[in-house]
Amino acid sequence: MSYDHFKVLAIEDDSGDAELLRRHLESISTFDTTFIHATTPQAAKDVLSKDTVDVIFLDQMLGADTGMHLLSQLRDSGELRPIIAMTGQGDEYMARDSIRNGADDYLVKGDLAPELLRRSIENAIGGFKRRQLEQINAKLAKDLKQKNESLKLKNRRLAELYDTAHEFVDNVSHEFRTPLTVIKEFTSILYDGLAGDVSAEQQEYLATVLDRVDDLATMVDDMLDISKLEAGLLGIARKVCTVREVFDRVQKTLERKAASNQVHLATNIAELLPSIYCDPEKIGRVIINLAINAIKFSDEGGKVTLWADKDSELDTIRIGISDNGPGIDPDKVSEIFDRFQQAGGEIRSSTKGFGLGLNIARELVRLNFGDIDVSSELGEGSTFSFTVPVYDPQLLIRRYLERIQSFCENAQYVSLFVVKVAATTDTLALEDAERFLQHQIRRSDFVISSPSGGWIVVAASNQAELGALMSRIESARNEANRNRPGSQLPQLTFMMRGNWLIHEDSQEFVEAFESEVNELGLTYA
Amino acid sequence: MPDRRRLLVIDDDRKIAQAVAVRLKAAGYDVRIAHDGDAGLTAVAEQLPDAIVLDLRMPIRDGLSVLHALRAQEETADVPVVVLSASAVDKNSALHAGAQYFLPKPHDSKLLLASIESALGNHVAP
Repeated sequence: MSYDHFKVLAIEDDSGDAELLRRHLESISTFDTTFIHATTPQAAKDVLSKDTVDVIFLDQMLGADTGMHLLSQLRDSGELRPIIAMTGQGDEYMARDSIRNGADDYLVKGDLAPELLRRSIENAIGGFKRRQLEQINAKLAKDLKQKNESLKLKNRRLAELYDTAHEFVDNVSHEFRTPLTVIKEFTSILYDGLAGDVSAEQQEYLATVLDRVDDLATMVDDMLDISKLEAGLLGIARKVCTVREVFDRVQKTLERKAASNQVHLATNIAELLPSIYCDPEKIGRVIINLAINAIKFSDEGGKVTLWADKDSELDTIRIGISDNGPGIDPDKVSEIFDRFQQAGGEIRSSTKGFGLGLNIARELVRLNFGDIDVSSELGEGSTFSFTVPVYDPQLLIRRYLERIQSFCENAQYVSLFVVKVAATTDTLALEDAERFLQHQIRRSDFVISSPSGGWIVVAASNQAELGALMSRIESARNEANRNRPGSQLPQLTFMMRGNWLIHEDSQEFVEAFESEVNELGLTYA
Repeated sequence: MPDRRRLLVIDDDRKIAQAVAVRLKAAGYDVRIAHDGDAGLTAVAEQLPDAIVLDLRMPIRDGLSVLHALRAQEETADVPVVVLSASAVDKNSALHAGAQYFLPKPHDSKLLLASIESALGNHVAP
């Protein structure tokens, strides 16, 4: 549509009035108009449905009040084009009604003048454009609202799926473990001679059953760990501990396994190793996975060594499992940590599949800020080893940031807060509080504790998410206390220290963290 | 033995309850069995055991609910409870609810015996 050229529809039952309007329009020098005249509402509708009309002049006295009626009809049916109402002399009340019913302007027939007409048309076109914009806006707003609703719905479904996945994994675990427990219990009752004498040969067979039940239980753990790792459900409770403590957790299991496979198991921990910072249970699982692998792949009379030493990389301890078994083909080494892969010959693959264990081992090591490696030579044996960071808050926070940054390419906020308990809290209550807090934080968060009570918590959250996290912790504490009337969890005081965008302010954040570390008197162990 | 320690095993899986009872009897304990949480609480009310071996996921009344009921009553508030559960995820809830020990199934029977001894020892200690 151009401002110069208009197609005008006059809906007017009086031919004289229509002719007058046509002449006035023609006399406007800047306009070039095509004039269409309709005498009845039906004729007008026919024109509007077929023709491109730019401006409509509508006589309000179109036989009784059908003009006004037609105006409402047109607007109600979504007609957006400019409509100028035409009224007779002294019919101003009708003029106001026509505006109310959707006319852009009104003109009194007796007062028509070219200049007035020109201005009225321009105003009406302005109104038309405004209506178009309003309609587009309304449609956008509606679309946005719908998209918002559908996003909310999808979020809700995801949350439900997450819960379902969690529940499913737990139930599967339960279903597998129950029959395993029955098999293990009755077999061990027979093995121990509680149900009568057992011959040496029978005892040997029963020992094999027990051994394989343990394997199966480990495989159930592995399977669940993998699904939890993938779903982000596996929690982690890192704390200060010693290599010795971690080894002690797994020693018994590995000795039994080695004895039943007739493999010699040796342990070699370097002296004066500093304390490490990790989830001892998870690191224990890594050692079990790697060592059981080594034991299984060793021939009878073979030797498996569990060792720990300082790493060439400063501030890191390396824990390793070495065997003198068949070794791994160099071509296979790179894929050995991938799920369901297994190195070695076909016979071995069909009987000893441990791809799952290695995949989990790598994920668990990474969750503890370490890396896993393998070095192997065919016919000589293999060494699987991984790193664990030494307990040094400054080092740990850098490892944490590296990990968070590698996860999130987009802007990621970290929040720093300190949790304190009353100075009079006893050791048991402190341990309780620590266990509780570790359980509450997510694996993307980081908590470091002071032996004197108090925790520095780094949460991968912005301000809003942090508020949600804190209120979740508080309500979980209340819930836990309702369930344990005997020994209440101590009151936790949260002190917010700040919020940083790590891709931009990581140095500031590290400084704030270090000042908290100094405040709590945490030092290099 | 006149002063054999009395244990109550609560587990809805009859075979697990039976196997655990065989093991505990062999270690010299006087063992009773209940197959759901309600039956367990009834057994406790009839005769207070020295310690309880408790499963968590059971129909009718689950183990956590049994723990809460025990801890809420003055007479049973201090009975040591060793939880034996196939759901490792319930460890923290069980410990928070007042269990002394938590052993994931399938468990090591030596560890179960050691836990019971330790729980009984803690119980009588001043």
